[in-house]
Amino acid sequence: MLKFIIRRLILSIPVLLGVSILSFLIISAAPGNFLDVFRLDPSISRETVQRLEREFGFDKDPFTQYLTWLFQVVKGNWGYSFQFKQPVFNLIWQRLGATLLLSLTTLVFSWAIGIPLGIYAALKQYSFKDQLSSVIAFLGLSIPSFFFSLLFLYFASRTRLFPIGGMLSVNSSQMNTWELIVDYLWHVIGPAVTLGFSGLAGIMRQMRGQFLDQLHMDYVEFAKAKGMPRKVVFYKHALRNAINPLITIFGYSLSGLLGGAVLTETVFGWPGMGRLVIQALTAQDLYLVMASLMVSSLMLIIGNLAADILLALVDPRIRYRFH
Amino acid sequence: MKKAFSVLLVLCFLLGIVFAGIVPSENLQYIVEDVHGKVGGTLYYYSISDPKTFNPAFAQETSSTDITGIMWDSLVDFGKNDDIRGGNLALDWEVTPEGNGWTFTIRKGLQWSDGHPLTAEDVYWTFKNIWFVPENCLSTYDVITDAQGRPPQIEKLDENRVKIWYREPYAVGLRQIGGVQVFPKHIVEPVLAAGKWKEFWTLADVNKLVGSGPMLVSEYLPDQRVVLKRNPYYFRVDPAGNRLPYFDTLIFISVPNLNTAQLKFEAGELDYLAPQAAQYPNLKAQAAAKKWDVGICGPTYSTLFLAFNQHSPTKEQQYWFRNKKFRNALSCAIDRETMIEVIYNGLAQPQWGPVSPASPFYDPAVEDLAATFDIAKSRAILKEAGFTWNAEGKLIDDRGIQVKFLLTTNAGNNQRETACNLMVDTFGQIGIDVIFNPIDFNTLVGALTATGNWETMVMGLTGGPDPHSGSNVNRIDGDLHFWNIHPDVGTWADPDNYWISNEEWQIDRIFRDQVREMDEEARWQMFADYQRLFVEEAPLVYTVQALRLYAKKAELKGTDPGSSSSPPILWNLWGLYRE
Amino acid sequence: MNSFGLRTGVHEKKKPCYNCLTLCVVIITKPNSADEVSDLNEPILKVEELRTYFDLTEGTVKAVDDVSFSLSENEVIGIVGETGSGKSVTAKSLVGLIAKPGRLAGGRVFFKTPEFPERQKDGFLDLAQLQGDEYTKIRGKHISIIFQDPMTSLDPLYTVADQMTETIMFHQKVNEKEALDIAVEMLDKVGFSNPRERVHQYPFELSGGQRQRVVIAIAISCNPEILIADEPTTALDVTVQAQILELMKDLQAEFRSGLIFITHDLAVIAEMSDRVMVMYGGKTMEYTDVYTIFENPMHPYTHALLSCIPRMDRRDQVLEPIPGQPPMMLNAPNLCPFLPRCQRKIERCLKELPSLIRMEDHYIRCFNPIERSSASRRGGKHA
Ligand SMILES: Nc1ncnc2c1ncn2[C@@H]1O[C@H](COP(=O)(O)OP(=O)(O)OP(=O)(O)O)[C@@H](O)[C@H]1O
Ligand code: SF4
Ligand SMILES: [Mg+2]
Repeated sequence: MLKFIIRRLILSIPVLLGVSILSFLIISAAPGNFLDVFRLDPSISRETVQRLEREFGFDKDPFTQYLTWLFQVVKGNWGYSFQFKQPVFNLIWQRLGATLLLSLTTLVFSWAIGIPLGIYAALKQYSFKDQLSSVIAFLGLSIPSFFFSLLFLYFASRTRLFPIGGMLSVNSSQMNTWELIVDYLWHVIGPAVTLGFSGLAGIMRQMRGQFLDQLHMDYVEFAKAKGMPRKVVFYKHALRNAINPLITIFGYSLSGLLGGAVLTETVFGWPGMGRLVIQALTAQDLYLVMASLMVSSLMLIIGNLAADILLALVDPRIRYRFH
Repeated sequence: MKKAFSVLLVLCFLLGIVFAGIVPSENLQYIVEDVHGKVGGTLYYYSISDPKTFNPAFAQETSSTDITGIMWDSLVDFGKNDDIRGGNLALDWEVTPEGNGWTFTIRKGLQWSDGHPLTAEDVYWTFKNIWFVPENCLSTYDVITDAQGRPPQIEKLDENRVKIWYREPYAVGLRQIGGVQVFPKHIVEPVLAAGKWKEFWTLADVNKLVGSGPMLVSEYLPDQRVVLKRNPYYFRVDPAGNRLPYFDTLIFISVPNLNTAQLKFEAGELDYLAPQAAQYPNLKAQAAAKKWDVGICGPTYSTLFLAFNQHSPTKEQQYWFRNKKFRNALSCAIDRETMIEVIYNGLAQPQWGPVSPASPFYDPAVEDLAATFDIAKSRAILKEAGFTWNAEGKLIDDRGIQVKFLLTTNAGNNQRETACNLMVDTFGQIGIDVIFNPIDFNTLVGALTATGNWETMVMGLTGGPDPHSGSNVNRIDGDLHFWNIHPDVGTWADPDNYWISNEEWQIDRIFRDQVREMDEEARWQMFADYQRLFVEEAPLVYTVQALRLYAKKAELKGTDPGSSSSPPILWNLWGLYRE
Repeated sequence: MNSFGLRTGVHEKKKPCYNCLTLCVVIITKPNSADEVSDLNEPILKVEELRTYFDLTEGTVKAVDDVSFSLSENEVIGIVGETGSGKSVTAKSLVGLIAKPGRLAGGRVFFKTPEFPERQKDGFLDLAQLQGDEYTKIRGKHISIIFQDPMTSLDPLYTVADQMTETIMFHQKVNEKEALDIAVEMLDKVGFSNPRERVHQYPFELSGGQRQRVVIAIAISCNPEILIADEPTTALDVTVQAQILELMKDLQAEFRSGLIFITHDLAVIAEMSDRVMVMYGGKTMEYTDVYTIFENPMHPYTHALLSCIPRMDRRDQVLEPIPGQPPMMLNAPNLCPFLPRCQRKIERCLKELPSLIRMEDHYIRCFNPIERSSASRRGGKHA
């Protein structure tokens, strides 16, 4: 297993390298650069712009720029943000927490509700409750979460039941840990619910479908035939098998932890990476964009790896193939 | 004995707190502002994008400068329309006998927010080591150098006086020198020596901020909020002797967009909102019931104009675009009233000339030269200039070529795109086929500054109170003289096909001369001439100008919104209070 | 080996026969010796007029509609019938494995058991009355069932040990270690070499035959009174089939349990069963001892069924598939299901449904049965 993980990680190096080259070249190929806003500013002289160009390395060709960047990255220096004059990693690091917090809350929300709900719907197949949950799931899957977020914000502002965006209240620095947790939960409901709803709906439908499929499997029937009680049949045999494909989905959803919430973060003013990255993209803050791309790619690789490892943990057939 | 001593010590300590914190020290030459408010409380403001740095030398966009502007004061105090109100760190100043500079007297008893004295040495050191060194600042060097790009000289006369002068009289010098901030030498000097200045006072350095302004940042949470706390050593007081500012705390709450800001304002979470035209009617309607003041601050310094590339890659266009009658005819074919309605919900005004009515240099005489929407007049001018119409009603020039061109702007800017669409429509009414082709902002900048590959475009540039800020645009060899770029500046301009009108020469002259004119009256007259010439020549056809709007809680007092380039109610942060 | 000479022949030429006869359930009572025949008289399972319907949106499928038979200790009953005739549904109905949209629509399944003494009548418990988890006291413990596909009958995520011990522990109230010992013993019985180690393997590490052995081991691990085998060998290849059949036979002899055997293979029926029930369209068509079925079938369907079996003694014989389509099960008319294909139909067949008539020990559902001719009867199984 360890060997497998190490092999996968080594194999991911060329992938990351490829991603970085491609990203760098695409960004370089895009018209203009970070200094364009300066060029149109009547108060900034051409000399200043040229000086900055040299300072930022824009006077070199993209390939030299890339190699310089790569060399620095290998040494552990991810570069400075043009806008913030800070090491890009500090910037990302500051916001990573908020993004992960939201994504993880959303993940917990959608899985912790989606899975039981899916099982419940499967057990109550064709009942009113099952059909109701199907309708809700259909809504969840068809309404874009972006639109849903806007609705939620409007709702929050009318009823004042929820805060209008943000992660913590303005006076959060005076709160103790317990109050902070409550305050966070109060703030996270909106983004997590609106972001997680479609995921929840999808997970629920998947779970329901998988579970129903499993109920018709021979081994589930054989478990019944062996005289196992419902609990064992459903939860030990049907559920364990039904969960397998969802584990894969779960693993892949780990890879979306960093990038999945950009729109929601923007609508809700969530202090995560999403807004930073969008700003960096519009401003063409090259190294910041590169670093966030690399972090996201890394997350993708880790997510896939996690999916495989999880699957191996729950499925002896996959585990067998690793040996 | 020992006991008595410690009691004395405690007493001294308490007194020290009282004096240092509340009562200005005896020898401080403070400013008494005529405000009568209540001390304490928190002002809730908002920001749509985070500051990028707290270092004024490298702050570029307003999200950063709005905050650094609060933390560090400059020599001269600017009012609600960026007018010179009086001294700030400087008690006063006088023009040097040679007429090419100023001697500033720094207030006595000033202190930095860490209690360290602020003296002429700080002023001297800041100019000498920061502003006069291009590498140590982003673009301020460009701001304070003279028209030829030469920096001024500085000399420290004594503990309280510095003299700053240019090679020759430089009219805008006072505004520029007086507007840049002064830093604490005792903090910055070691940083600069260590070569760390560029990475100093970043957003990560909240605990290292030492300033002179009314408030200083005490907490920064990315994309959440910036919290500023009052500077206990600030040098303004009210007539009752209260040390200003009144507010203890100012919080910029980060919001993702103006709509969210509006929701938060409506929910009472914000004290102030600068609404867009589209939001205004709704806010105005609720104002009385919700106890808000909703109103108009005045015109902004933003502009929206139509530009013609006199070095257009399509050669026959150069012939039309260099014809001032053609440009004036098109100006008559712009329906500004409809633009105001459609784009700004009626909350804008026509813009006739290059100087904003907010500027003290604005000459209302340009309004008499104004081109109003008049298709017949437009056609008459074209006819007079030798244009005719063919059987299909299309405009033909005197060489028989049909007039048509591409119109562009930066894609995604709704206001500009709407303006373009309206122009396509009304220009069609005078027989011109205009193809609207919005392009990406960076491509547009490339076209303007590097390739010259454009025909006509709708653009905006932000001006300032002093028209001198447009030097780079108005001087014929300016980098942003983009409609008729000088062959030395733009490689796409053919030197053999370079032509400058008499009016443009005159405008160029004015911009060269005005900087040496130390007499405000005479300088005003020069800019009045400039405005007249520009409108007649119409190298850029101005369209409409947005009005700046505000909405605030009525309980927030002391506000005096204007056209200032800082946030409209924060220019006098020290005088704001909650009732 | 047996006087029919059927077995080998059928094995060699089984495939063409699939067209007409897809499945058989054989309930066998074992007439190994004369004194055991007395067991026949004391049934441990009496199935009466069993009906299992599936309510679909398109209509009702009467998958099992009036099936009756009984089974004694140590007896083997074979069930035979074309595909879709309701054999599997019958088997599942006996142990309450019918899930929605199916339901038990009628009938009684009397089972002699010590469980639920308070609900018994004349020493029999009506399994059709059990609800939900009540069945767990019967299934696997008193009645075991083996499905046709060994490849999919074992849960892929658990080891053999886990799947065996969970059953043993549940029914026999032993601890895990004891259960494992029993499991190993059972594996040994079904012919596993090295069972102590292999018990910890996962199903995917086993071959099809091995898996079926595990399934059988699980089924007999609690020493049930009745074992139901629904085509236990169809999915296996021919050589393995023989081994498994041999194993089942041996085990049945050893445990003396009642066996209900469902198979396609009439030769297997002939070899294993004491009695045979022929099903068609969800109904019992004919039900009698194995000799009578083969030598003197009275029902036109049974007759047709047998005539498409190649026989060793008549190799030249052309196969005679039953002409026509298997019956439509959806919203079937209340008539003899074989009617559309029957060559002996009479006026009455078009009007009403024949009921199951008993003629001595021979049950038959037909208005116009083939006359019993003792002349056609050939040597008995143990002749
Ligand atoms: N779950 C179900 N839903 C609907 N109909 C069903 C279901 N299970 C069985 N049936 C129907 O019941 C009838 C009898 O099916 P059954 O499986 O008992 O046939 P069989 O005799 O075992 O056939 P085979 O030889 O193919 O195994 C078939 O027509 C089938 O369509
Ligand atoms: S009942 Fe009639 S149709 Fe049915 S098998 Fe007998 S003869 Fe044929
Ligand atoms: Mg079957």
